Amino acid sequence: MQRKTKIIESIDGEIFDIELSEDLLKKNKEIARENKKLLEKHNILGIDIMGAIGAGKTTLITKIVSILSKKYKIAVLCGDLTTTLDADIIKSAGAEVIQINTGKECHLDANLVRKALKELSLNKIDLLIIENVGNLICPGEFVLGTHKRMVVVSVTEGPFMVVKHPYIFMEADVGVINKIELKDVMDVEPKKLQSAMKKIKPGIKVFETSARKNIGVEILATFISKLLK
Amino acid sequence: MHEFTIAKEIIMHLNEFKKRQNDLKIIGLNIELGEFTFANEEQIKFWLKELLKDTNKININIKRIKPIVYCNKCGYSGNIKFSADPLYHFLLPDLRCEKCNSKRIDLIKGRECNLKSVKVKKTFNKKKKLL
Ligand SMILES: Nc1nc2c(ncn2[C@@H]2O[C@H](COP(=O)(O)OP(=O)(O)OP(=O)(O)O)[C@@H](O)[C@H]2O)c(=O)[nH]1
Ligand SMILES: [Mg+2]
Ligand SMILES: [Zn+2]
Repeated sequence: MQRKTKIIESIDGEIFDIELSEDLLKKNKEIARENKKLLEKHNILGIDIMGAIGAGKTTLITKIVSILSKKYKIAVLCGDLTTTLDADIIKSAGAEVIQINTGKECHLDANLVRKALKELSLNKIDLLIIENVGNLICPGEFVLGTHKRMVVVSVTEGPFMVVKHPYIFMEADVGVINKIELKDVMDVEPKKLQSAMKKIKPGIKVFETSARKNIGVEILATFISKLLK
Repeated sequence: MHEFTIAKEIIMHLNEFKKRQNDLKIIGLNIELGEFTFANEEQIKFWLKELLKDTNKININIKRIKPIVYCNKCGYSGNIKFSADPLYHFLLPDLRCEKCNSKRIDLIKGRECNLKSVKVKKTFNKKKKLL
């Protein structure tokens, strides 16, 4: 018995949809996963520090490094648009620093971090801190492969910084409210910033600091050192 | 500016598609963008139009995806809670279970950034430019 195979052919000019379902951020996620594996192979804790421009990321990192470098070997990757100012300050606090200039990009991505990791002697490092580019929007989208993500805001940015940028806090494990010594001058209640963060991300750990006046920095450093064990 | 990165990624996928299927002309794009992504819809469209310059006739369709959460404690799956803060006049997403108030919530929808599908037109003229 002969069976005829029915062939369906599209005709010229026919219009139809073809499913692709490509995740456009997949490449970044995959490289981030590799970065994380690499860090874990060398027993390194990775922290991605995000936050608004000028919130005090560099100052805070400098202070944390000078406390923790007595006990741990620390490397810092510094994302910056063009300058090496931040890198120089952090180096003097006792960490190995690699500068990543992002040029016009508003965020670090996993590939840039992967490149930077190649420059480090990973077996000598306990803690990797990454200072992301100052921006409360884009960095949230690009995971780097760190174990924790921290967002730094400061009271000088006013009372609405958190509620205006809720999405980045969804990505955060740790929130820091910096420049706390200026809260009265700025008429900002840090407790309100805290409660907004906790509403957006119920499990978030929040710290209030003044990197300049050394308030709360020791507590934050202790929290990080506990993660290192 | 990471809308540019996303647009570039889309173009790369379109070029790959063109290589595989040179008898199909791409006339439309369907993109899915979760409401909790940080990318701006208009900027993605802008960059795509820039990058596709000479062939501006591709229809770009961006669908926003509503966030959906799953509760690991009670199994609730559904819309996310938003709480209006009367003080701030903002709607804040509240990542707690609407049913049991648990914090063990996963966002299962709302972070998409996908090139969902392409609308194509069958053409037998292989010499025709495809993009
Ligand atoms: N008053 C006060 N000033 C601070 C504090 N922390 C940092 N600053 C100052 O704020 C300014 C910006 O601090 P940085 O540490 O460079 O901030 P950043 O977040 O690294 O900034 P970018 O990398 O440019 O986004 C500097 O002048 C710091 O001295 C603080 O706790 N209180
Ligand atoms: Mg800095
Ligand atoms: Zn529940």
